[in-house]
Amino acid sequence: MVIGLDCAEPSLAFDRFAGVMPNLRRLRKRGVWGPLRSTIPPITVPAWTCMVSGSDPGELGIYGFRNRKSYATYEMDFATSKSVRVPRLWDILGDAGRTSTVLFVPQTYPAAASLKGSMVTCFLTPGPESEWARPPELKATLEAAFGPYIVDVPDFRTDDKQRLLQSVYAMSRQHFAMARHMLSREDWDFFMMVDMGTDRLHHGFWKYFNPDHRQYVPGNPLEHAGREYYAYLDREIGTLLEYADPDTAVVVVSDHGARTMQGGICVNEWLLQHGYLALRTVPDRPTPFKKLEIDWSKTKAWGEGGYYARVFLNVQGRDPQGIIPPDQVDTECRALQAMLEAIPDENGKPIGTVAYRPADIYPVVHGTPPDLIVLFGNLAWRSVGSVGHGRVHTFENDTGPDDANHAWDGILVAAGPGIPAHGRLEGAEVRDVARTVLQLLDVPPPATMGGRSILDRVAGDAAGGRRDPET
Amino acid sequence: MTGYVVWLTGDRARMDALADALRVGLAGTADSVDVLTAELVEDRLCANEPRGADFRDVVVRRLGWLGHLLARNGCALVAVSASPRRQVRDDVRAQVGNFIEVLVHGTMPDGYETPHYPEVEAAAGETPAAVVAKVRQALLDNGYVAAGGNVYSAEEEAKIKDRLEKLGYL
Repeated sequence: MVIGLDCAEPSLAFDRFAGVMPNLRRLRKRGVWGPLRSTIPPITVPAWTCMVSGSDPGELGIYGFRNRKSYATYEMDFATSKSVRVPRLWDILGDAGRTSTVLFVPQTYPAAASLKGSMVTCFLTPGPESEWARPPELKATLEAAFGPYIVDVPDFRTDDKQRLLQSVYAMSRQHFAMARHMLSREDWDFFMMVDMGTDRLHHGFWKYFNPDHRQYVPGNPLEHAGREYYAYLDREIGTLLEYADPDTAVVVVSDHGARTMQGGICVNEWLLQHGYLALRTVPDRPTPFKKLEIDWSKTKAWGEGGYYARVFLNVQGRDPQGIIPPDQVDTECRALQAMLEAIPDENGKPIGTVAYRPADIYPVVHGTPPDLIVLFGNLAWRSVGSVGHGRVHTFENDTGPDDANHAWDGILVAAGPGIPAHGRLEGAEVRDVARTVLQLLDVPPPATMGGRSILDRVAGDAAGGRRDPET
Repeated sequence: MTGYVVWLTGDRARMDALADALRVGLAGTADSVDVLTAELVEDRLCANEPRGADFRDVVVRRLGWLGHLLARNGCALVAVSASPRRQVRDDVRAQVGNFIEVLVHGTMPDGYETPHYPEVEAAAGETPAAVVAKVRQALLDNGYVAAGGNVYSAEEEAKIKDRLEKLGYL
């Protein structure tokens, strides 16, 4: 049984809010726990797919929610379930004759017809009218019991925070209720669900319960929103554990963590100021990138907004109107990498940006990767794609306020048969989860599967004598 | 005109009626629309092949190759074959390019490997006319008879993009 909590943050689940999470603490005491290092980039898509396939983003050819269709166009395309060309846990288990129940796992829309078991697709489902269940008749059953499927939190960008908080709870309550329904009625060898409420809570409410946020106000009415949600989550986890018999191993994971967002770096504004991006008309107000009049004949680089930046060079013979000669790409890319890493904060202080070249970090690079993956302030700052701010630094997201960015480490808690009461483990990675699940179910992994089983990591850790005194 | 292959896989017993309906229903979408069965290929093109373990795969691949030739020249082929092996079907898909896989539910052959993402599913009891409508839509969606989207319609794509922007992902 894998319980996913998108964006669950180790410093909250293991420390600050641990006191209101007795079920998680009991699991930690019985098994192994620690930080779970995310992918580069640490974002929902592709991190969850990496977790359930043992692949990295380069192997998947998926570098974010939207990816360039090819270098022949500047257009981006969504990464859906169909974009995944490697087997995921339920594919591998299905081939081995095992049955899976898979609920709300990101990048599962549309559901594969070959699935052996049941599925409710993720928040990338267009809406409750879509075909979000497998087998198809499951949709009517769940609708009859729980009403229309709440695909995600509606109207996320709102100042009505009380209503937003109620919406987060409404979504999570429905999803956990569906999970209990499925657990009680389905035969499964492998069960997995992902709650997205944790992520929505962090992005919508982080500044209310984290004193290191510049807008935090002590004693504000939502100061306990974080603690109360984590306590609620723990109660939901407790209800799922009632369906885990003594033969069931339980794994609780998140795809990445969360941290305070200091602000945004307007990546295209910076590229414009430094001569990399050329516009026919420079807007006098924030304007989305797709609405800009770009002069591609003079543009050397452009970037995408989001929790991190993807920067593309405009290369002759590769891009539709490329201008950088192929023999200068390497020099240009390294120069731009160094300049982006040197962008300071609004007061001129270093922020520790890291910029990666895909070929330097992935053994194989499939699809149409960006030339640079840029994490401003090592994730303390987000990337803002719009132009017209008149400055590089902004403290408002171009699509509305946002309190938190992603952090490198998610959580890992595993307990049950075959998992020793080891305590804290360092060094586990998102990609390790797939191998771990297959090992627990005694199903051989594909020869090409990456990652390392948590059980092997524990064995190595124990041999070295590492133990955490807290557990 | 662009050619394409509509590949029926799954319950062989339902396929003849579906293929007839498709031949009529898809008329005008390509220079010609023909139906070819694996049995015909076996009889005419594989008569002297040894009946080894991979004989069925050989027949399926030859049927696929014929579809590839037809599609390349602007014609459409409705291929009728239980074709139980997923990898062989995927190889044919890769060779053809403009390929619509129709999973025909019902009594499957032994060892049948269900496709991961068939463009169309013909549910048990579904009428041939309903299946033709779904195939026509899939041809539109995949741009084989006109420009179109893939997983999402234009409206759905805008909806997802708006959602992800508001969530801060984009």
